[in-house]
Amino acid sequence: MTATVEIKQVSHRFGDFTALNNINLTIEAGSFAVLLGPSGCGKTTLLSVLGGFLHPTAGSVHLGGTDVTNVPPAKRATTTMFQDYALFPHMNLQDNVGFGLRMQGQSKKQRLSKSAELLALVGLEDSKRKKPHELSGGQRQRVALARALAVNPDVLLLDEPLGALDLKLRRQMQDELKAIQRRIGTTFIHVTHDQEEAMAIADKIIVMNEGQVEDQGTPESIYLKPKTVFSAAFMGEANLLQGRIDKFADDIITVNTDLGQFSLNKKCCVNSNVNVNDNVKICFRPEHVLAQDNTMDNNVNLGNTRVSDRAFFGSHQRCQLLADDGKTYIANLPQSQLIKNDSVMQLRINSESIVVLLA
Amino acid sequence: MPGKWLQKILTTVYTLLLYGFIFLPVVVLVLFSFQDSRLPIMPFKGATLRWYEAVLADSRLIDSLINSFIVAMSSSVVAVVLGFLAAYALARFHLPAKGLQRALLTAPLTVSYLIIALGLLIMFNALGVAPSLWTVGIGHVVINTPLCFAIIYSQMGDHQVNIERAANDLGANEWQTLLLVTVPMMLPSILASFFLAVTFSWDEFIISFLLSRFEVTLPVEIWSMLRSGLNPKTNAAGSLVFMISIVLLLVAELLVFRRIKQK
Repeated sequence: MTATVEIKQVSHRFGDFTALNNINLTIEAGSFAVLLGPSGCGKTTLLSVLGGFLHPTAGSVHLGGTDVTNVPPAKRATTTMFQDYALFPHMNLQDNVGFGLRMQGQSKKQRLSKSAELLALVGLEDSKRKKPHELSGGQRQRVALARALAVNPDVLLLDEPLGALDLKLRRQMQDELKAIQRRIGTTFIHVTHDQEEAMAIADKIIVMNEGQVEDQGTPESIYLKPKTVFSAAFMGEANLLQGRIDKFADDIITVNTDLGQFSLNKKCCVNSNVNVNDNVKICFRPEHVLAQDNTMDNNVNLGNTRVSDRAFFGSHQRCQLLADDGKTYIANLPQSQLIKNDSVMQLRINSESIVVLLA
Repeated sequence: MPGKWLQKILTTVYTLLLYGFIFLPVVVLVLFSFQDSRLPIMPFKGATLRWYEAVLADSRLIDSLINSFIVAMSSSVVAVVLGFLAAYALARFHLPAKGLQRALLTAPLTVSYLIIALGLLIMFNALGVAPSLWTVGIGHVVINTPLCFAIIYSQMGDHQVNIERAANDLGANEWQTLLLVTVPMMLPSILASFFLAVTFSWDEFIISFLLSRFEVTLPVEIWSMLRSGLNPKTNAAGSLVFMISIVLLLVAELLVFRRIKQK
């Protein structure tokens, strides 16, 4: 089962602290959505509101078109997978997984067959009589997933479920989560502060900051066309150059920056309401800096820079380029390019990949 | 090297003295319960079980033993239930003046049993309640509830909140969560506090003495035996009490503390 999730004008305050500030959001049925943001941005609070553990100060939550704001967690078609797994320590795995079914009044036989089916789904069918303390972190994770899915929720809420796992296991679990989500089609809403994890699993990423939605969209659109400076900087690495809009002409905008004046296609402005004299940040990713031998016409030249440091990263070289404005810009350049520390190189960027953001 | 030997000898002597100080009285008590003589004093004149026979044949002693058992079990069950509910309330809900309430709940631990017994005696008198096993039991609930509360409360952590939430999220109502998740999860500390309460009630004297009249508990009965002078029978009765406490302790160790260690 699956359902569309709609959040309408939700705000939540803890005393004087505003944890959520007028959130409006729609998450399509059957999609894998990720709430991404730094700690304290309100993502876990929003998940608690969705799960019914917190009643929002204002606004409403709708599941499949029905207002569930006042429905308690026990009656809501959502289940939560908690960060610390929250398995029942005194029950074996099949009783853990079958708990929700027991609460629904299903017979022992039904419960056992369903929990066996779900433990098989997460690859733990042989451990059904073990207690949670006999399992590793990754296995507990899977049991928590099986337990949450046993009650056939419309929406599964995952609260930083992979945070406690080591890197390799985390990558593996990401793939498994995504595969399971595809198979059962339930709407997954996953909270994380790890942008790589978000990109690895999400159909849709919702970037949050200070209780507000900063940006939302597919991983590609958020990475390549971020709508705010925060979103650009949080989602991967971004170089930001201070500037000001000089003029608009047809499809061309001209910006004055600390590294000179240049023109860009209007498409580079993701905010439609940019005006002349607005302060902006010119944002470009390290991999959009062009290699010295690249002869692409469509580029912006930001002048000569000095290579203050470089490191070899296998697939690329990461260089720190000290520009005339006294700031350091990061460039990921091809392995093959010969770069020496303290050498001078031109900072040229593929102009189509530049994003102009309101500062 | 000689310094090291000296250190070893001194620590060994110190340890032996310490354990001797703690256990010698009990050893003497048990030893002279087997005394084949009318007086439980030096020298030891050989072993006999006749004092134990006399204890078991003494219907007043046996009655008081049964009374002690009833009071210990029932007052401990009540104390554990009250202590658990208080701990649950303070650990899980926003309550006014939380710190003050916690202090009030544990405060009786610092008050001497004599004061509590006197207070209860005066209160029961004023209410016209006659002293009985009931009043003794109430007295033991008063002294053991703070203990049970303190033990259970110390083991209620925030990490269990999500476990209870998960149960709730999967459709359990408040009572189901409490009975199927919280109580089983807290069972080690619930059992630990229960056994401790039982042992405290088992050999509590002053409250039992002041709040009982015709039906008395074992410590009170032993005390009245002592008034007629030293007698190896008293030692035998005391040894029996001691042995029952040891058995309780072993049961608690096997049932509870092993389980805690496993986790």
